[in-house]
Amino acid sequence: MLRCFFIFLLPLLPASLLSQDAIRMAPFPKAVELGSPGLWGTLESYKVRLSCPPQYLSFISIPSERTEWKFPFETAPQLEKYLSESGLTPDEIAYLLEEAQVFPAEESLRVFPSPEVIIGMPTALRAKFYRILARFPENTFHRRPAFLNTANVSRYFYDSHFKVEMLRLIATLSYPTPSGHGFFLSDIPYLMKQAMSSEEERQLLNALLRVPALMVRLNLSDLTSAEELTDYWTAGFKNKQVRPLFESVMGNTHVDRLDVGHLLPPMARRSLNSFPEQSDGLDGRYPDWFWTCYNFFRFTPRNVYANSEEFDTLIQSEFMKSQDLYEFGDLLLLKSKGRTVHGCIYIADDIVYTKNGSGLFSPTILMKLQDVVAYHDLEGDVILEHYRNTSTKRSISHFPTGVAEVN
Amino acid sequence: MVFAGKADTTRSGTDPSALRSTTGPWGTLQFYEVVIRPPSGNLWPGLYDEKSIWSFPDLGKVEVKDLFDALNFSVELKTLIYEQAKWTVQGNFTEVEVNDAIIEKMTPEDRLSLTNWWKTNHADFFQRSITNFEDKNFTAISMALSPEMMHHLRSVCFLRGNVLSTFDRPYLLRKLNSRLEKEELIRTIFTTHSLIVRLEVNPETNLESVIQYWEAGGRNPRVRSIIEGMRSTSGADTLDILHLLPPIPRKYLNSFSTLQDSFPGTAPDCFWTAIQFFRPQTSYRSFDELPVEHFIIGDFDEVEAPTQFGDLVCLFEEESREFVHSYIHIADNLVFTKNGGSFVRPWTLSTLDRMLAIYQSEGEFHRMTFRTITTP
Repeated sequence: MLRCFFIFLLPLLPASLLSQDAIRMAPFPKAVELGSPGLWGTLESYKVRLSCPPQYLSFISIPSERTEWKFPFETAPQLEKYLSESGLTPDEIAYLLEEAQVFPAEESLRVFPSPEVIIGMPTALRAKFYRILARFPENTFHRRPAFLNTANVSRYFYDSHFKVEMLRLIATLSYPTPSGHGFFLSDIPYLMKQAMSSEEERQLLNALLRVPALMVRLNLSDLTSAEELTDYWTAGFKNKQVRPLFESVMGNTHVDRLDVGHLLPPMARRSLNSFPEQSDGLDGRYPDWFWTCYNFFRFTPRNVYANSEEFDTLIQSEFMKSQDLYEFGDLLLLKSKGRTVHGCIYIADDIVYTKNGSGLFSPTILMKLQDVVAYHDLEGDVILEHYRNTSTKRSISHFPTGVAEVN
Repeated sequence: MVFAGKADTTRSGTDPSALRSTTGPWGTLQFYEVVIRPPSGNLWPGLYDEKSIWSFPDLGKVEVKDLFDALNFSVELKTLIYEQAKWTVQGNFTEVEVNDAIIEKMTPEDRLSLTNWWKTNHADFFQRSITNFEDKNFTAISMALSPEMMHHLRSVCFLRGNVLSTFDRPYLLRKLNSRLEKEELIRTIFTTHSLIVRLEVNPETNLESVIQYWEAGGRNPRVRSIIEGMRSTSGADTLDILHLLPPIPRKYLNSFSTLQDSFPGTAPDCFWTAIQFFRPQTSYRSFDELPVEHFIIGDFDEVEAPTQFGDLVCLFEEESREFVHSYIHIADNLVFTKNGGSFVRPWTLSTLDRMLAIYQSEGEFHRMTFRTITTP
């Protein structure tokens, strides 16, 4: 039985990661985690792993089991020089390219390493080398690896019906994230070797595409200040829509918990724990992180994206840089080398509302802030910039003539 | 009534806010009632009108007096109206502005007969003037209003069949002084009841069966991983069904209409809500004045019992077959509904009896149930 095995990444971890992830290694069953009390009250959370709609899987081109690395160079010496300048030793470079087949292609080199190199690569080298590969968008599996936010592989893939051998293989191929929190898994092609049929290939991809999300609820059993709590979750005027329900729940002595989904603005609630609908992409693209953040308080979404021309203008005109403590609805930008690599919305107790990719397979979810940072921090240098939404133009101050005045 | 499975609805005492539960193919649902008052920003200026005006289309002053006779108003009431009311003729309309003395002289029967006349002859005025109450006991409202105001409110309410109504909001507003008090009164009068509903999952739960119910034959495919995610988590024994609703109802649940959703003269109502339950995006097309069939044929199949999650139920007057209301069946006697196209009525989860409390003014309904056609 799968339940009997607990495969941890612990032996592979550097010492600095041990204490951090030790709390994540409780055996089954996992438990609801109690957060730290604050202005938001006390939150409870647990993880679920979201599967995309089954029909989406048919959109995926099944990768070959041959691993391929791509580099924007024309010759092998250029590649070796670049790897050397990036911090790899001559021995490491030789190991990686040993028995590799190298194809020159259009302004790039396609490198097909031997399977022995993939499975035998030391974890430290894998982490170092795959960070280099992630710099080039063509290396999609390294650029956007699967993120395991736990060292407990058997728990992470619970319900995936993986055999123990597969779990061991995943443990071998996983490597610490640059930020040191959680693990990445990039060797999806190598894992395809384990699939004996098309059905198993789909199962494998489905399991790898499942996204860990937090289910969060507000514990109402020990309220100290209802007014303070209401102020926090309504974010002043910006989230006023939830006040009527919140006031009612606060006055109901029978209620001990309220799902935080009820406290999100309507548009954010609509997207929570949902993969994009195919119809979301009718205008040519799917929502990305900026679309998600910008529309958090809006009732009707506006189609703006991280690379939209209006991006800088909107940040300057509707948000204000803040040094205060994070509050509900604040925008957090993740910056790497001066560039914005991601953004998310702060909810409470270091839980954020985030959409980590712009494609069909990226749902909008609640996550721990440190998990979001680890997921996007491919260079290990991400810093956070904190902004507060200052726009008040969403309010309806008067009803124009012609509205339906019915009771 | 057609409910799937054998529901065992239990209730803790008589407190409507206490936890109740029901078990069936949907699993075990726990639910409790919450009351929602519209935000002040959703109150339009007309709600603050303090003039009690009765409007009569296509009638002159003489015909209106004849109408009062026909409605069996007492001599004392008619005398007060003739001596103290202000009469105005505006185009085809005769308007009668009545004062406190006239209002206080009226009996519930007077109010009922006048309302029934408006419902038949002046539907627009009826919709703008009549306020219906979901709770005949005023349990929630009485906690927010003073005893004196409750006395005034009770004195101007009347029963229309099973529905408790009033058209004397201006009279109540005249009893108050400050704008804030008036705002609070209006918000309180429009108190709407909703439910917080949670799915209970325990080791005895037949998870596959429960998942199938909420997936609604593939119409709601994203619920499996959320329900399964609870299974292995100690302490996560309930799941708010907010997470089991499709995107559109999830967005609108316990929220109020905004101008962004509306068109001139119309705003989201029960039918708008019901036909878009499983849709990924809302459409303004549903505001167009088209027959119900226009939106049903091709998109929905009429179905018989048992009703399942997401089914659209339309209620028609038994005799005239005139459309009255529509809602979405959730489970047992729980429904998703928007009671009217008003900015002060939110989208809610409700019990069937609570919802019908504001519609069942004249006997039983003719029901038709429809199921969204799935595309292969």
